[in-house]
Amino acid sequence: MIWMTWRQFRTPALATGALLLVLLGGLALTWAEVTDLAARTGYTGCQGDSCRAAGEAFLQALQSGWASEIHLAAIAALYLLPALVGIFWGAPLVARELESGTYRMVFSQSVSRGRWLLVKLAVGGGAAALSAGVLSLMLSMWAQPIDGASADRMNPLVFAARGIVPVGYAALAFVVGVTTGLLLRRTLAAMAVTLLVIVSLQIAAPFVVRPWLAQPATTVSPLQVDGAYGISMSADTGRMTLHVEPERRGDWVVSSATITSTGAEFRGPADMTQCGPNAPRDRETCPRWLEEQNLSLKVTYVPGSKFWNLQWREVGVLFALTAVLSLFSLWWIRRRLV
Amino acid sequence: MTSALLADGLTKRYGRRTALKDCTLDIPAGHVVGLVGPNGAGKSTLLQLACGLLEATAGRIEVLGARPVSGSSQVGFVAQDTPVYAGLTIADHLRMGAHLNPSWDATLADRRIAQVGLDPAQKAGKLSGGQRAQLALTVAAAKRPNLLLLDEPVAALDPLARRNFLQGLMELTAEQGMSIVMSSHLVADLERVCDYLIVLVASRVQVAGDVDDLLATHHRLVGQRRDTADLGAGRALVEQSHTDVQSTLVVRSTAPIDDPSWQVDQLDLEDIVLAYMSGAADNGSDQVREGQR
Amino acid sequence: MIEFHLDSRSGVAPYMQLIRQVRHALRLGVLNAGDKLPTVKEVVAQVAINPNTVSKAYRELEYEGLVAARPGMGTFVTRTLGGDSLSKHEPLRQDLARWLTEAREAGLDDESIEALFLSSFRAFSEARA
Repeated sequence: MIWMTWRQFRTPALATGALLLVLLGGLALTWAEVTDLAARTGYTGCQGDSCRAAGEAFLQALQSGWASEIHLAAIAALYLLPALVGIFWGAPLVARELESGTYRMVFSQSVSRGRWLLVKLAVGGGAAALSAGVLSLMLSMWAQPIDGASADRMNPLVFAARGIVPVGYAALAFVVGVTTGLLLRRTLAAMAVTLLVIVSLQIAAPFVVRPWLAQPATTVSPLQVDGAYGISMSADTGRMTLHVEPERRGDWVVSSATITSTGAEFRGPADMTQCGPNAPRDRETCPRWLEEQNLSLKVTYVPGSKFWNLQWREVGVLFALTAVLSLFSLWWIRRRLV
Repeated sequence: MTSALLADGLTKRYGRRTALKDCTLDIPAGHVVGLVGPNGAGKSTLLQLACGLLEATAGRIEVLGARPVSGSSQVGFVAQDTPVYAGLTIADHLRMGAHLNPSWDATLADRRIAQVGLDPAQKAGKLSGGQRAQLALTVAAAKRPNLLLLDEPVAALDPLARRNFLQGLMELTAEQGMSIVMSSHLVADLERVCDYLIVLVASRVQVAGDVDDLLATHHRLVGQRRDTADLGAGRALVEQSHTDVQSTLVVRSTAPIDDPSWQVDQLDLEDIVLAYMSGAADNGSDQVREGQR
Repeated sequence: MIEFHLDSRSGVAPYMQLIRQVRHALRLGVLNAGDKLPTVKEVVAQVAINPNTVSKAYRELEYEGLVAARPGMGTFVTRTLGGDSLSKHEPLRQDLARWLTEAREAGLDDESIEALFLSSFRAFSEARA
């Protein structure tokens, strides 16, 4: 059964492997560039406060070379990999056999349907997980200085392209493809639906699933209007909202809001003479007036120290879903295929 | 001797549509069995139930003494339109057979492929219909099954390809002594090859029995116009047609018919099958007949 | 080795056709004593008929004493029919010629003579079988 699985899987596997090699090659070639720049800008081995500035310089220097393009390409690849695996490996797996009628030939060989599907799931899922794992590992190692300098690892976009989370998405996407193909029995329709499901999953994750999974903390601190702030104001009603970017380096800010002493969100009314387009010295008077309002900043965030904790939780959910869908497919193919 | 196929009240429904109604069969092993009937009669359904690709809705079916299960090493199946993996070569198909079947006979497979004149390196998608059928037959037969099921294997083939396929099939059965159940809507082919026949019309078994027995017990009676009141014991009416002066009946009778008011003719197999097919249409297909072994 | 063929329209049972073809071959000297008949497998590969049909024909020939099956080696011809050359049956030939003359004098044309002969012959064979 292994030979048969490989023989049918050969072309898509090799194609994906080739793409993977190109990316890994890119990472290998630019590795020196990254470490070099990190050293030259003084980021490597920096101490304490100087690290911040050195880091900024390092990140700035990276923009000019190939490294930043490779970085983007690798992240994009890790996001595209689940969709590719689901559409081209997973969806046709059963659907094509059903559509072309070859299931009638292969299921009359001396192999049970359950074993047939199990081996295919194991090989395909394993290959998907391995590809994602290797790419993610290489990227995580390659991007270590960058992640250190930017302290951006918890950012949702970066989070799903580091560590072991990509492995979970790849494996789940593959099984989603197989199950869809099994249920819809048409390759093209299965590919379309699989794409839809995977993209929805990848979008829903940072907005819906991850916040719930991470159990973020909430702090309330007095508002300091010293940095940048944004105001939106309605001239007639005097309603205003204030947005201040919380300074939480290395953490993932899920949401932030400006609240009054009662705990409700701050909505004005604004003093038109102090703040706003009509106020004469808006730049000076407005911040002072705002500070007098006794406002606080309520931030819901996930600390950067929880990076691996969250990674394992997310992977756990993804693997659990993968297992559930696999078991469902194995049951369906035995009991209700035709 | 174990029966090759045993069915008791076998029924298969797809939602509201009934594909097979209340079939009762006892097919002996070691025969070449023809399963004949019009399109949509349920032949495919019966064969797929027998090889475990479908589950029965009601009733019981046993193949070689056990419940049919998908992936049996004892039952081979050649599906309608002989599907093959278009992207795989012939040699790949044989390797698949070798890997997926512990009882695979590689010598037999290679010999058959060479005999039919196929190039093992050729992709299966490029084969003609007849060549595909031979490939599918080789893959099904080289695992040395005790029962080989074939679903209209020669329907789409030209006469030469048909003849070659049947020759190959007969050679295999002479060599291995396996039971064969083959469905077709072309009776002429079945006549030279089958020694047991099942007629399936409108999802029901109309008649099943040994070919020699069927030929000996079915007669055409031609005589003066009369109502077919009572033909006597041991006789069953299969089909009837009347003009204003003449009645023609096809009758199944265990005893010879001595009635001088009838002209009695022998029938060939095709006539018998046609009689059951039109008889079933007339009677609203409510007759179930079973043959003797 | 002889080759068989099947006439599916002749109305004669397949196994009977095989028997007749063997007899014919013996009579014409194509097959002689000691010659091997094709195996069941070879026959069905050539003619696409049920193997049981061939077995039945060979058994019948063996019963008639024309062939003998040797286990593991095949089926061999034991005696010929060539010895029954037609010349030995001159009286029968003369009877036949006389009958034909009578039939012609009775007004039968060629077709009717042939039809009369064949239907009588068939009825005779069936009564024997």
